[in-house]
Amino acid sequence: MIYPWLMGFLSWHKAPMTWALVLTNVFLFMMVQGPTKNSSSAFQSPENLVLAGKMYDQFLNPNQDSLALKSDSEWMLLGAQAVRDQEFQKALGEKSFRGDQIQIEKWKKSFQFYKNDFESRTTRLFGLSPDHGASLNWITYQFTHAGWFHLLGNMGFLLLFAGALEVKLGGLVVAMLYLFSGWAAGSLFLTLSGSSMIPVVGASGSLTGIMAFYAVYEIKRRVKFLYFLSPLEGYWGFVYLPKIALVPLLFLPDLVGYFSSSDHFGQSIAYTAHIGGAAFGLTAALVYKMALLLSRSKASS
Amino acid sequence: MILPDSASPNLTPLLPKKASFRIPSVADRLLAFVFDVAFFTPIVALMLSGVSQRLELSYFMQGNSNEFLVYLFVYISFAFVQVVLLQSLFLVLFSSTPGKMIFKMKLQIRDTDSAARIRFPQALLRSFLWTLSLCLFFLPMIEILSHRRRQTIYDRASDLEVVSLKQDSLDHTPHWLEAQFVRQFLFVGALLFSLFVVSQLGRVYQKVAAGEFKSAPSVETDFLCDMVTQVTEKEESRTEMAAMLYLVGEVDQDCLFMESEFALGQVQPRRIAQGYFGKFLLSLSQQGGDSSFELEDLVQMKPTGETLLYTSKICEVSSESPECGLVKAWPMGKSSYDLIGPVPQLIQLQMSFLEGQWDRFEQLVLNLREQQGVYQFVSYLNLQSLWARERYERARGAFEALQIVSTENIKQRAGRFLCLAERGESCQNQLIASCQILNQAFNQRSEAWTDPRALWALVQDEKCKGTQDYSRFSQDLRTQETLRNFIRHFAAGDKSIDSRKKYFQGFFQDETKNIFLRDMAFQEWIPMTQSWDDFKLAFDHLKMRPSQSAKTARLQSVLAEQLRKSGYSFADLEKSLNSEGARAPASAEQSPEGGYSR
Repeated sequence: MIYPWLMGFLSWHKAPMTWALVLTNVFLFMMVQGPTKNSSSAFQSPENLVLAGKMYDQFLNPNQDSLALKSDSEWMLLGAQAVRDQEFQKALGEKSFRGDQIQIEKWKKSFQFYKNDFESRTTRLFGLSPDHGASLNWITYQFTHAGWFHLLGNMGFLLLFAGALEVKLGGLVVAMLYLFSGWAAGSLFLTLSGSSMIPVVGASGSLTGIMAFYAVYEIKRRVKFLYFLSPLEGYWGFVYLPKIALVPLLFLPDLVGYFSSSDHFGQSIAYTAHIGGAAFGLTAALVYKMALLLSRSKASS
Repeated sequence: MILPDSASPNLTPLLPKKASFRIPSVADRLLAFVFDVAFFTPIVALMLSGVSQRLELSYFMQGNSNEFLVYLFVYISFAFVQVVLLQSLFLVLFSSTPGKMIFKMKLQIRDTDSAARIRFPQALLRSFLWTLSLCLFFLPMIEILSHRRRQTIYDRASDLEVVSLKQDSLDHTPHWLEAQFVRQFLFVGALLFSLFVVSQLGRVYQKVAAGEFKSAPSVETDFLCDMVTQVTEKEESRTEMAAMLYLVGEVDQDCLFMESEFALGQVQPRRIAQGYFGKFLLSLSQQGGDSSFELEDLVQMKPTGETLLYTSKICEVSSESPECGLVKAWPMGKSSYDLIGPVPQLIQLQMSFLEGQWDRFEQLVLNLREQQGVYQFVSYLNLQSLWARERYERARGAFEALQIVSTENIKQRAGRFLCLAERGESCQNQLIASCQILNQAFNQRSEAWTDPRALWALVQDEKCKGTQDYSRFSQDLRTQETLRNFIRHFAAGDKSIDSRKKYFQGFFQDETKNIFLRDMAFQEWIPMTQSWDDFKLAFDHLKMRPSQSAKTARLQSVLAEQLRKSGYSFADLEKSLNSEGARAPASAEQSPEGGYSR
């Protein structure tokens, strides 16, 4: 196990903005978190997904004479895409579908129930998605989390990295980075998510921006890491590693996740948002360094 | 070198006791390893992302398919080769890996000048063995802990050594006790692992010898379903044929469902009506709650709920179609006799059997024998008709003929019919051929039987033999549906209270049997109670159970509910049994057979 030993957040006075961001996230999470009705698992039964797949196939290929012959798994894959596609959902009321009309009517009722439940979820209300991109959602999605583990994971890393950055550059930079990285993360997510109605929530886009900025703006500086292999002497301690070591660990897993995951299933992790946030953080750090160099050269000349 | 130098008198090469270089610390080596893995994994995964997507998809589609295994093989082999090449490249170019660079280490050729460049074959060999060690759960890496120069087998095999470039003066040589302990641990671990592998191989050998890996016999229903979808040239008759084969039990519900869905995807009204008819049959058989339905039960079943919706849908789509006429006449009566077509004829055959119209029956047998896939069912029905007409010897002859030519499904159905019929006739003959065949089929089965009638026939056979060992059916009565159907036959099978009591005690009160199974059976049996005596049996059974248990309370509530439906209360039963010596209350009007009127 190896973790960056960044203890800037320990001092409230040195990292007030970091703490303010963390507390805001926790407070909002506790405010909006309610009991979850899990109707999605009931709706997403194999039978419903197969039927959704058959209807979606007709939606995608309106001129087809008869239903294509596919296995149940293939229909289910299509069905899983169908329930995420807002265009298909708009067409549900207008288009007539071939097939067992009794089951289709049952499916529509059950889908309406699922959709009502989905629309009332916190992640849908405060999250960001192509059909739900009101200006306020660009901010609220950065402070909304899907569960305790999501919140704790993000806040843990936010404390470490934003705290360390705030000690160096001040709270305003951290706050701006948080908001603009979140904006960049949301933009890339919306650009690449097509007509999917699954919203993105969480501070991870903002967080990757802060982490990328932290890793790049002083790339040659070494950071203290705690390693722990066993409690025996010599098997745990501290090492100082260059910040550049953070870069592959930050970007590559998200790139891999994005390219390796099949579109058919949807992604529970918004890799594109992470990549967007990280790209913004990286660019901001480079701009910051250039500005610093320019101001130094001006001062020296 | 891996092997000792055979030209040398010494078994092990002479190495200097004291290392002439800085030995890296264990922590540095392990951390470098972690960073190497963290560095190589995403690069390789990124390069193989396309394969990874296909792998994920094929796993989802069919996790045990050949396609998935091929993708898995391609993924693993490409990943292996890429890691080997990437690491070799680093070793040749930088004499180090990314992790080792971070932790200030490098590789050099053993006992030579540190400036000597690593050759590509050396790098390739080390990388190959390093990657192989990943596949062996990093076990070879443990050697870092025990080797006096902190070198692993892949370092030594490639004649390389890892040296530290740090300027510390610490001695990282392991303590001899530590080295000894780890070596012994590795030795014992390897020994245990080998023993485990040998034992597993032995188990596999035993399974092979026992024939567990024999390919399953070809499933006839799949064959007939393929016949429907591929051989039938006339599209219109496809769904009709699937419906007919479904009714005679030759194809399963998945086949009929698939055919119906296919027909419903068409535009011609007749095809759509046929599709809905398939759905009607599926819904009707589900309505019965018994997946091993008989045509005899189905034709007499009244459509309700969703099945009724299908009835109106069929006539809405095509009011002139034979399917509309058929479903309108359901449950079947004499009106169905005017309908034409193979499916109505099959139903007419069943009806004429039930109504004992033997001339018509024989005419229909002749007509339907020509239909593909139906011949064996018709022969089976003919066997039943011969028995019903008291032509016992001819029936036995027909049974023997079926044993030669028919499918397993029909053989089992014929066996269970004749076994039950013969045992119902007389218990005197100990060797009933049909029961013997049924027992033989039961003992040789590879999976659980879900046919409650066959199990019931075996129970009757056991009853005649004087042995009532229900434990042999435990495997078959595991699902609630099978058990419910079995109990239904059990409760309806014998009206005599003595006999019912015997079954009850044999099945529910035998302490040697699985408690869960007994409780489940008891719960299923309560709604089947036929007399006040049945309630008494149930009450006695509950008294034997631990009174505080939640399960007892639940069973009590099921019994109370059944009593309430029959117009009594649990208190009535309790009072009656305690005070009147188990006599029925006056309100329970006893029927001559011991039943009560409801």
